[in-house]
Amino acid sequence: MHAIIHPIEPFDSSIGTNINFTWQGNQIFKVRCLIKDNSTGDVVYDQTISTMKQSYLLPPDSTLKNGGYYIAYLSVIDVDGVESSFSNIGTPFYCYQTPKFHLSIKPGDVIKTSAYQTELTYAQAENELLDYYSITLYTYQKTELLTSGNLYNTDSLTYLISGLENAKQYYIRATGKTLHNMTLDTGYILFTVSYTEAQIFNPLELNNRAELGAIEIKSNITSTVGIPEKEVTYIDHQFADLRSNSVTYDIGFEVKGDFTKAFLFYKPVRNARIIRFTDGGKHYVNIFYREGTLSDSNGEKAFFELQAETSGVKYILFSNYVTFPDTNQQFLLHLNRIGNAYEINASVVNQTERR
Amino acid sequence: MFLGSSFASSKESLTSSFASSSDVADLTIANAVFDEIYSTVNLTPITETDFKIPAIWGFDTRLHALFQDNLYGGNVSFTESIVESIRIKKKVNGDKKFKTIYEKSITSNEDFEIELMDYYEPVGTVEYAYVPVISGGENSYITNRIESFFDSYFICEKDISYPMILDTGFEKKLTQKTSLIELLGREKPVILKGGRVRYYTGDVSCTFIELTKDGWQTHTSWDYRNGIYNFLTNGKPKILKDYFGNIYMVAVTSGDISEESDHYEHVNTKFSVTECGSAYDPGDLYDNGFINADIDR
Repeated sequence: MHAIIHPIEPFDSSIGTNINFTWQGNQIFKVRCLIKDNSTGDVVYDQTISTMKQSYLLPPDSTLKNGGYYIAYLSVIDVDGVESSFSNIGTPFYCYQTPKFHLSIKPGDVIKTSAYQTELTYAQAENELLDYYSITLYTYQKTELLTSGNLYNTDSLTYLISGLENAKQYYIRATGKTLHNMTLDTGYILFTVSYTEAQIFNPLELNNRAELGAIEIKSNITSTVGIPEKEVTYIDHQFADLRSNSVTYDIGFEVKGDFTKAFLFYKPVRNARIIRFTDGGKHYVNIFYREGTLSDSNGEKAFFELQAETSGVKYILFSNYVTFPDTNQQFLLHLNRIGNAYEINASVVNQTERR
Repeated sequence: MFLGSSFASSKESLTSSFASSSDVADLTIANAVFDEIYSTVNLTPITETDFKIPAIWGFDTRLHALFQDNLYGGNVSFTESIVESIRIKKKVNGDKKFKTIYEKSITSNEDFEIELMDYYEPVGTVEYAYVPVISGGENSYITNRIESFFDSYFICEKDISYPMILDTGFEKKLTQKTSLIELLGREKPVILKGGRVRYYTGDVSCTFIELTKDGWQTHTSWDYRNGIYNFLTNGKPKILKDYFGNIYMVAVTSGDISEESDHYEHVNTKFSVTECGSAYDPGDLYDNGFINADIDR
């Protein structure tokens, strides 16, 4: 007769684990555990502990190595010191370092919106892969509110939790399994939701139409992307260097009627056309950057020239004069069209003034 | 005309002419290092000295590009060239997941615009999500929520709903199958529940008169009723909902649509309905033609 070992989940050898087994003979007094390396067959662990339970506590100092694949054998010793036989086939198991498994929400965090994209971090030292994960939102009373279910696409570990109510507390918990069945769990993470005001504009507009018993759903999506003349170089992840390049917004961009436009930029090329917009046909507006000493400019100054051409007739407008920006400053060009007249104003602002 | 020149706008005109106020269809920037560009139809006076570009996208915003390692100028970070389709998803109280109620494939930029009426929502908080599908996977959700309320019964189908306001009654019963067996030698009988059958049936009564902004249209109510009778007898399942929060997917099962009248303009219509699916289940909604997307079955 021999002890039947239950399947052993992968574990961190620096933590150890409980090896559970089933034994149907005499009362257990001691349990001996023998562990062999699967690849070499060498005995790497052989210890006997005193216990009366059907489980063997493998200690953290077992000298097993994370990343290893081992086979465990157990024998049971009764009160008279009679040892049972080992089973012929051992139970294989893996050792892995405990993976990093964290949510982007930390205990005590304050979430400032009603919908929040949670991100999950997973990393394991021996490259054990994540098989699936699930993220669940609970009320403060730990009633399940929202769950992602088991998600097997582990390329992007995200889940949107929504419907969070202001001034309420929630628990969130992520669980998962690795490819070799190691259980992952972040535990319950308590967080608070607090937002001062609802956002007025939402790309998804909803109206309750009580007279129809319906909800009207309207999208306010503006999707447009600039088409560059050639590949754009970005500076500090927040500036587009277009000194010998250009970018055009066309599809998805349309302005009807009066408008305000604003441009923040630095190092414009002298006498070059920096801005152009058209109606898609013959009518266009060009804005040039100029530098010079003029009779009323009080020294050398920078200014902008707007040329609007309609049916071959040019309408020309000059901006005010501005001093040259310092290294940490930039131009702010403010342009209005009211009816069919333009206004243009230039100023110099600090680069740090932007968000 | 004056010496071969005209005052009206042309190359030969004498006066400096105004610019055109035609719509702007494209914008090109070049020859500088750009930090941010912004366009709005909400006019900001040029005299405003400390003008700042607003951080938040508004209803008036037309373009706002920040050049943070990309050239996106809208309020979303996707374009028609990468998005295969758009899904509208819904979540009502009690749902644990968003369920797709509408899907539209994207071929041009205009396809991002969606205008939809959702007739199948109960009273209470309803959340909707606008979800772009990129290379087969769902991208980040744009969500919003609304408190749904109405104050009468409604019977609806895809794209049409009829309010039931006057003399409305809905007497319903919940049906299940049980049998009772009295066994010898046993004091109490054994109750068996046969199968999973559980559905509502009910008798609906209502005086159908159209309510427009000019009031109750009693004189044309005969015509309005005829329209409703065509609706009730077209064989398609309906959604029946009340103003407490109940919502049922039903079929009209009475052999007769009967009328009772104490006055020729006061006609009470009666018919019976039986539940034929779950109004919360996207699979049932799709199978019965209420929604066009069969994704979250």
